[in-house]
Amino acid sequence: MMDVEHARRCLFGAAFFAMLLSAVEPARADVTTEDRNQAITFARHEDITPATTFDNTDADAVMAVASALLRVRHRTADCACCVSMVRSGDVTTYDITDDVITTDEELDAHLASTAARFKVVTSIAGNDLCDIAGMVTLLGCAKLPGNSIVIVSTATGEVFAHEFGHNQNLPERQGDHLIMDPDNPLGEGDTVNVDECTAFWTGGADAGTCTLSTAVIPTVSQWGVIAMTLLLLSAGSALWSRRAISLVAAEGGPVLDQGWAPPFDRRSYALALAGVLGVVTASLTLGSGLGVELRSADLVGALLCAPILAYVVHFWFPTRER
Amino acid sequence: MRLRFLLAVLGSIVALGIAFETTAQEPGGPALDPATFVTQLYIHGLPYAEARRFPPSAVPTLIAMLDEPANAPYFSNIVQTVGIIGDGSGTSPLIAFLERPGAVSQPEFQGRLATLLALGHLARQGDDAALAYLDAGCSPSEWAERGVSFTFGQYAGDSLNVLLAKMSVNGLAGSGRGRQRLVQLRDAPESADVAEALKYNVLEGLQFDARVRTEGERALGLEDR
Repeated sequence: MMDVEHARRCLFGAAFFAMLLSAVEPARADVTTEDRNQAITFARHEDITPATTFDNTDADAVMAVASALLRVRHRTADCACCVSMVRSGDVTTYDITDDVITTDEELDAHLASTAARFKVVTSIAGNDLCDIAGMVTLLGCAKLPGNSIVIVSTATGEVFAHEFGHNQNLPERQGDHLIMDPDNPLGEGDTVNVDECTAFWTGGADAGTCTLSTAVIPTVSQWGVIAMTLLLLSAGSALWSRRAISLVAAEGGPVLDQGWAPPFDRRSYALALAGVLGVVTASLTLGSGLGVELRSADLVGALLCAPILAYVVHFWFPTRER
Repeated sequence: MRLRFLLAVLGSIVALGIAFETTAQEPGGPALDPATFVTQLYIHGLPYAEARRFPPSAVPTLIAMLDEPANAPYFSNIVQTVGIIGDGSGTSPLIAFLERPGAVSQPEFQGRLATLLALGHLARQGDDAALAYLDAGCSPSEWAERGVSFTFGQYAGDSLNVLLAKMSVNGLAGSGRGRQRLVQLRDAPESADVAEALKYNVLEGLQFDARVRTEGERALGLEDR
């Protein structure tokens, strides 16, 4: 009888972990195991004010942000790309028309320049520029595909990544958090799919073996799914426990007054909660140490799920009733 | 006792979960207030179709934001939203913003230039004051007469006047009401220098003007992208 009960508990445990894991989308594999660097050249228009606007330090800063956007897996739909965008040579200067672009003719002239891949200007504002309808003010415009980009000096790393994607023959793609969707507010674009990842990677110089982690901590929505799964498991476990005690009574065992409340053993629950919180703390610490981006939602989600998980786990502890 | 404890724990968890899910809703819907809307930056500029959903009552809020230097990165969005809303009450404050004297930062400079595009939106929607301002502004000498004296780097005096004239041509073309003036600029410019400086703005402006008049809001990107 005990062996059967033990087997049941093992099966239950296996099923529980399977359900828990199924709530989290499996991590996507890296596109490649080879890391690559995309060497990027920069030139700022000589009329840019002040003359120190966009120097080597600025270029390195935006490249670091752009690289982090590509390399870190921010959400389940995101791909951790083994590619970095790095400055190649010093930021130079160039002189074509003005640093304020107001017509398509001027924009084309800047795009035709071979001074560098990224040409940094003060402003891009006009009508139907860069094949975008209307009276537009742009932060950047790139050839698709190609090796030329005109970009405004105040553009962020996200804009640099987006425009470089165009040079790598990536079209725009609509969707929340997508780097290639220009309609996302700046600061929200961080996601690329496998194909886009491959495009960003293609043509880069070998930079050794890729050691990126593809793990991702679930988002709030996924924590919601996990919490729901755990709640269902809790209800199932409670019903199972009550049924087991009833069966024991039916076979001549002690008859226990279970009442109508869910089964609960305070001591077992305290032990289970301590254990679960320990595992959560260790997991978060480990994830952080491995470079997985943790969000406040992950901490909240984990702390919310821990008490429910502890309730499920506490059924595994032997009590006088069980 | 234990039931109450369990219910309290589970109830708190569910309530907190719902609260966090609610606060995690993605932005982007039409429910954004104008101040929040204009303080988001986009790679290809403002989502114009969203901007047009704001009522004229949003104009005072937006105009007030132009007085706050911390909003400089969003000045371009602010003025364009005022223009797209299309209420005539925005015209004078936009012109006053454009003509403020003094040295400006790069983001503010971009905002000043975008003001002339915003006036194009206002003119297209029937504001004659905006149309007249743009029409006259297509001449660099007009800016000297107006005494517009803000500066940014090399853009001061004549170079600023030429740039403002270029942007006036762009705004006028976007109004769809300036064809006669654009043709005049092409065929009978006030000087060879002006003709050379404005050449591509005028040529492209004539094409854009034609599109605006035939395609309307679609040409201006005011339909959903």
